[in-house]
Amino acid sequence: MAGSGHRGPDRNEADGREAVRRDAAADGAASERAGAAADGAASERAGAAADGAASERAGAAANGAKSARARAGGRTRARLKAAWPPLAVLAALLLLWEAAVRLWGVEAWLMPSPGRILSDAWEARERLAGHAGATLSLTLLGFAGGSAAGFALAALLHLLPLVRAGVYPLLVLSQNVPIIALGPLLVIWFGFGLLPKLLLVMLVCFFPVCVAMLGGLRGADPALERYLRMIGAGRWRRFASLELPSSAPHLFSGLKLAASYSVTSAVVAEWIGSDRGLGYFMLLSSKGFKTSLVFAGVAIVVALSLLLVAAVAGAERLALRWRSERGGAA
Amino acid sequence: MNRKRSNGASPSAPLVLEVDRVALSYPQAAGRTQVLGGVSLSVGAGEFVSLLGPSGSGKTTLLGLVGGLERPDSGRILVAGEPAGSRPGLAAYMPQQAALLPWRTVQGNIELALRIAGRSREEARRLAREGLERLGLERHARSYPQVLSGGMQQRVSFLRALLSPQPLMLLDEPFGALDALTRQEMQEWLLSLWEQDRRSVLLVTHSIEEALLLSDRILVLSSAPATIVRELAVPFGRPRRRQLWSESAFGELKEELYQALRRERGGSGEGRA
Ligand SMILES: Nc1ncnc2c1ncn2[C@@H]1O[C@H](COP(=O)(O)OP(=O)(O)O)[C@@H](O)[C@H]1O
Ligand SMILES: [Mg+2]
Repeated sequence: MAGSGHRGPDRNEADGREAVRRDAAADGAASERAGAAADGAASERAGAAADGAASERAGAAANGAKSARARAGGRTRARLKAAWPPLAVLAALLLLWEAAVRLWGVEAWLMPSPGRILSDAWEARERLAGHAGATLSLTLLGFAGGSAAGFALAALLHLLPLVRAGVYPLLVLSQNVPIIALGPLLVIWFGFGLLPKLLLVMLVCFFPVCVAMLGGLRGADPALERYLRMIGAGRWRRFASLELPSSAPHLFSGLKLAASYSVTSAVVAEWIGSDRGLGYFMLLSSKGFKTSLVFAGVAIVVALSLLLVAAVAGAERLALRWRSERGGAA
Repeated sequence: MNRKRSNGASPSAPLVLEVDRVALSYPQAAGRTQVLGGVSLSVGAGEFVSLLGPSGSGKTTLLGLVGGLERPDSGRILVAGEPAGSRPGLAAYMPQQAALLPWRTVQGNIELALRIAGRSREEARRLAREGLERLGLERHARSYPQVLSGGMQQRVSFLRALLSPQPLMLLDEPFGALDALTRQEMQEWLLSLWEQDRRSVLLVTHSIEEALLLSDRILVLSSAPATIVRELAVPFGRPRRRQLWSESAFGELKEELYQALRRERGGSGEGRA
């Protein structure tokens, strides 16, 4: 029967504009996925892969709350399954380290064993906790402030296209500036208080969030944009209901980058000028050849970094729940 | 141009859409290409009018002008008496792709459209819920659109347009992306719904059968620069059924429209029958 499905070559040419739009819409999901792949942390990528497998399996299950629960359960199981091989390797490496230090009798100031690091850290636990607390609050303040500023500026620039055209290329270029190198300058200008350290962490967090967000705000589906304009949605409504939500995956990529940089930059800021925090503590310990405490500091920095990235990833999963609701013909 | 109206609207009823000698061109590498070359048409209150034309003839562009996305180079468009573009959202709209926001549930998508049309939050929620119930779609209310089939997404998209308060509905190839069987189901579904509360509709399609089944009046658009080259009042009474297809009058009208369309394709005669 006639009347549907027949698409001659001339239709394809004539309807090119629409076809492109359709493709853009279809590619939306793909580019989001690409955005997720661009994320720095490899562990994150592994997590995403595990999610994918889980939701695919759950997709085969029936609809409704039952399948939602099955999906959540499957995801947790898949994540545990994916987590144990690297954990086993890590444990093996630690054992090897312990054995090597004991076997060759390496001196503790040169290379302490994991056991030694643990016991020294336990002895210094109060000081360690105090310094870790200082670093954590500096990190969180800087991360929140920098990200908020990046978000706000991105939104503002997006709503002012002319200003955006002037500023966006510079923002992209500025990503190549090693912001940490600005630390000594900030100390010259703002002294040794909290301010220069906070500014440094904020700057480090600001750029990835701002640039990712600006890209995301541009990436809204043109078909949806056209629909909203047709039914009379004003500029603000299109921003709030379409552009902002469709930029969320990009925002979270930026936030994850910022989160993974923020602890490091806080530690470096404390190296440059401070009397507390893990950076200060590690510098002091290394000068006193208390190598085990330097190691303890490193371990805590790594843990804080992972925690922060995991928290952002958790917030992302919560905010983008709709994306895991895949299934049926789309 | 012949503007005689047929069944569906009485001649004295106010026009819900008036398009008067509308022309539009786009800039191109060398000069400008004329897309619309003086299109005139009208839709009366409660009338279902179909715009039939080859792909690329400017149907979507014309709807964009009616919706106020662009201004024509010349000519005049009145939607319910108001110049197009004078105020946002003069017409309800259903695009070819369902255009549902993937991060909003079915209910949320309908609510958003109603909010944009000026309803209060509570009103929008109530109207959306009632509409979904009336069409038997309430079990999808809390689903995200991407888990629905293409046909189901279009049902939601149509309901969203149906619930919008504007007197005129613009439907742009609403079933063009569906498979043949789903498409037929959707046409009958839309037919029965429309016959319940006769809104004014301008439907863009390139399916002759679809136009004949649904409309009171069919306009054939020429290829670019587009003008109305043929107007045809559909003589079948309402309520209609798909059984029309087997009537000989249906076949004759279909052949007539097919010939008109084929001429507009430059006589390339790409088989559609
Ligand atoms: N913004 C635009 N700029 C340039 N050309 C356009 C634009 N919009 C539409 N056109 C052209 O106008 C013609 C009609 O397009 P369209 O209205 O989408 O046709 P239809 O909906 O009938 O298939 C096409 O040739 C298309 O390339
Ligand atoms: Mg079109």
